[in-house]
Amino acid sequence: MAAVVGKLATISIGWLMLGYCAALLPLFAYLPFWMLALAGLTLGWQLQIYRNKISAPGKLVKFLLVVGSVALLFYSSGNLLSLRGFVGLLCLAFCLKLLELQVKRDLYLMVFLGCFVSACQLLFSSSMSAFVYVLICILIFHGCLYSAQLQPQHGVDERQAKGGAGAKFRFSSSHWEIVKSVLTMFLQGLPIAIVLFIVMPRVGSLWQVPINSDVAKSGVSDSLSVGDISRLNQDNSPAMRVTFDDNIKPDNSKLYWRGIVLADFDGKTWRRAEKISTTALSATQRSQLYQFDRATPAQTYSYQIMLEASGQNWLYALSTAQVDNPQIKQWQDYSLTRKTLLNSRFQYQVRSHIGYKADPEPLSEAQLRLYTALPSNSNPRTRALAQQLASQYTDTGRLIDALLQMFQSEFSYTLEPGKLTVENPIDDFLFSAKRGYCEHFASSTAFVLRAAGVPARIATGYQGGQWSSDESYLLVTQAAAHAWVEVWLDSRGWVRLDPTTAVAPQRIAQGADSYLAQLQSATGLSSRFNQWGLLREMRLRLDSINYQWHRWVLGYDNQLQFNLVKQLLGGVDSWRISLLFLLAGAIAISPFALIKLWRSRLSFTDNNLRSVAKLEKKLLKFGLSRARGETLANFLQRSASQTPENRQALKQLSAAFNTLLYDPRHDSDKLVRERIQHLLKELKY
Amino acid sequence: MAEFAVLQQLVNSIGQVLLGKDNQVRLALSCILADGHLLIEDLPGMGKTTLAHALASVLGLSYNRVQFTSDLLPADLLGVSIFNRQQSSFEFHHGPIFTQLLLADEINRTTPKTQSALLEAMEERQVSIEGSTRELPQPFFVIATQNPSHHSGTFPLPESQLDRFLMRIELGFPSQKAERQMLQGLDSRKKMLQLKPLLSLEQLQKMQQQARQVSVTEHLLDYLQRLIQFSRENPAFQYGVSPRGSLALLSAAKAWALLHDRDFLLPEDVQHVFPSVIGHRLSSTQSSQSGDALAEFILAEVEVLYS
Repeated sequence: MAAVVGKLATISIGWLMLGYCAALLPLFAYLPFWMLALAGLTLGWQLQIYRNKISAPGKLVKFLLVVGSVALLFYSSGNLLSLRGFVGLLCLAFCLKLLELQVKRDLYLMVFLGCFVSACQLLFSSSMSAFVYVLICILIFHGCLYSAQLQPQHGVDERQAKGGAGAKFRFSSSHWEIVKSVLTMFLQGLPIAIVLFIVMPRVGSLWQVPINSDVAKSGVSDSLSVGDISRLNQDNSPAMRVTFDDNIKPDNSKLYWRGIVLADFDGKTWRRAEKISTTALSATQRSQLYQFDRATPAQTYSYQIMLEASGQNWLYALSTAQVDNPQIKQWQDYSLTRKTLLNSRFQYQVRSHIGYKADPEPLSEAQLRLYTALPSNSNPRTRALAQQLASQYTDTGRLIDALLQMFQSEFSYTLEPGKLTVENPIDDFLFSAKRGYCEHFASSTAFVLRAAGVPARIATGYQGGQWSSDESYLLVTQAAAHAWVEVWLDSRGWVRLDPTTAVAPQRIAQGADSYLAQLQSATGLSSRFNQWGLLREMRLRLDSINYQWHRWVLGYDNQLQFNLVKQLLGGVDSWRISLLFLLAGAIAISPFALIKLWRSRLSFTDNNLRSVAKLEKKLLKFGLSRARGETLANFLQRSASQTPENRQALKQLSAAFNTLLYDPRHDSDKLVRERIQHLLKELKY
Repeated sequence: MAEFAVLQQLVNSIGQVLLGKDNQVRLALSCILADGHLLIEDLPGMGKTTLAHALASVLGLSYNRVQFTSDLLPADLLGVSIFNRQQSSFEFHHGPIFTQLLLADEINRTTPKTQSALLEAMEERQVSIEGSTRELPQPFFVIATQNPSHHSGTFPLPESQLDRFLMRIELGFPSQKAERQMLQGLDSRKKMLQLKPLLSLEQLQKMQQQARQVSVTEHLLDYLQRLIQFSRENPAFQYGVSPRGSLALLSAAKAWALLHDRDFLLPEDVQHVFPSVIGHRLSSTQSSQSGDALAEFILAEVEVLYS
């Protein structure tokens, strides 16, 4: 029997292994595949050890396992100092430690490691479902901890069961018992956790793990080349979500989410013009923004954007935007960037003035040169076309109309345009292919305009979006990526010109998702879109839940906290904060207090007991309290020896209470009760 | 009032033989008043037999003593029919059990067979021998003594048999003062002879009747039930106290109250008899703890007043 004392109960091992599998399962998607085998191996090994089929591995074997698996991890992940490397190391430790499971201390260590491993999932996914899953994992480990705490009794139970003494066990530490206890503890801790979540100041991260770069996948890149992609992929992952304040929403055709401006063209690829996109917004421009704000409020939209991690640093907004955020910079072309790259979700507040005619001051000589610059030797046929148009129409507006007219009559919109020639892609597009998507139309339009001497540039970003099922926010997916042209008209400044509207007006009116879906099903590309409506609905519902989760739970930062506190308390002073803390504490404790009160209320239904409680309350002031198993008479005798001045009163009280409580002839005797009231008053402090 | 004086006198006269053990004497007396059987457990030479003998003497009951040995047979205890040659018929010879007070000395030295023969007698107050049932005299008490069960050559009493004893008491070593008094005083055998019956049978039965009539309030029953319920629900115990156990607790406490000249029950009475009544009915899941320690644990944990 002595050898069995240290041995772990089967039930704890079971719970631990359940938690072990649950915690590791989602991580295998991010870990090298052989770790799955290793985890299975250690699990099976430990099971056999526990069943005494084989002995625990020796020191040498363990050493070789550790060195070997770390080397393998280094070999397969290449870099141990990455996020995956770190997580891999932690998981390795978790898997291998299982082999050493022998006594309770090892079990505790496994449980703590397991909680860490469970939480690691949140480094890769921060959706609500992942959070719930992590919570379940951690609760399973708590179940393991709980079962380990019950172990001594459990061991005896087993011995008894073997002995078959026929004794009835009033207490069985069954699984259900464990589940119930863990859930109870969880519920008890919940109010405190919620209060701490709301009021605890957010501390910045103390260290940073290098985040792997594959989150930086965006439908919008920092350059635009014509014709080197033959087929556009439909990526329905969210790019951003927008909530409009006061529920004032613009209609779909106005939803041009402007990201970066590309003004530098080398004959094949449009890039950002360093000079423009690194010159800050001038003071005149800024002041105009604010003037406009006051002039026509009907055209102004105020909204909040939650941008997914893009791995880039530029931000999106509707046309010319006004931002008050020290983290965000605005450049001369009105594009917005954040100081650091977006490796996680970022939320910001914007005001936009739609229809704003910016930059009425004329372009400088240098700017004019920049916005009409073209490489001299490229796309000769297009240049010739531009020369012809320029001579035909002196008015820029007429010129544009003619160009769009051409697109409308001869061109078609497609997602699979095929490749264009490398040397003169725009010539190829305009004169032979005549089919393409927004990039083709935008860059050829810009090229023609520049060749005709009209300043033009390309803006990229997203167009449109889908309203959530309750219309509370707008979801913009990567599929909504778009490119359009901005053209300089001397009278009106920079004006947005979207040639795609000429070719495929529905693309703009309906939004990318539904239009592209129609396009695909019409060409018979995909039959899975037959159930598009239902799928779309479900996707939107799910996204809606996740968005609220991100917005209110994950996005709950210092700013939001500050606002919430300000809104709740009407100001942020130290006394208000301390009041909030007090309030929060009270709220957290109130469920327990209420339960306690409820229980104590039940015991006072009896008049006699109520007077006992009165007496005890009074004696508590003397610092005297009755032990649980102490009779009232014994307690009063003890009290009498502590407060000699009340000795007589207490002695009489003791006798009176004994008759009141225990003598059936006096248990509702008014005289005795009056006497007790009288004696209670006599007690002197 | 007269009863109280008599009871006090009983305690005093037994106290002359068994020095310094007033508490145990009172417990034993209340066991008799509650019409229950008594088990005295202690090391050899602690005065177990003396107590039993003195009780029988002062109560004026007919008294038999049986030394239980490993070869004692049920017939040795209950009696046997022997053929009478003159009358040509079987004649029943009463065994020592046909008495008002049976002292079963070292009960755990005999075999389970003989132990269970005593069992029926204790519970039903009758014995079945050779197909016929014979009534035992009224009243009928068993005072059994036993050595601690880990002593060699013992057959520990099973739970079912322990449950039939209303109380189990331990005598313990006498105090220094009592022991000195004992060493200086007369031989206890001679003192025993001086003990005279102080009670008639009618008086004893009247007192038992009075003990049953001690009144009890709801508050006290609540407390008593909480005590019993605790033993059934707490994981520290292998099994809870039986309903027979709770009845035993109530009647023993009532007798204790009568012994202290009160006609209503106080929680102190319950607490006082609790270890003796409940201790031998409990067993810990952690085997090291004795029944008395468990009983003290219950008393400390259970709230006296509030539910």
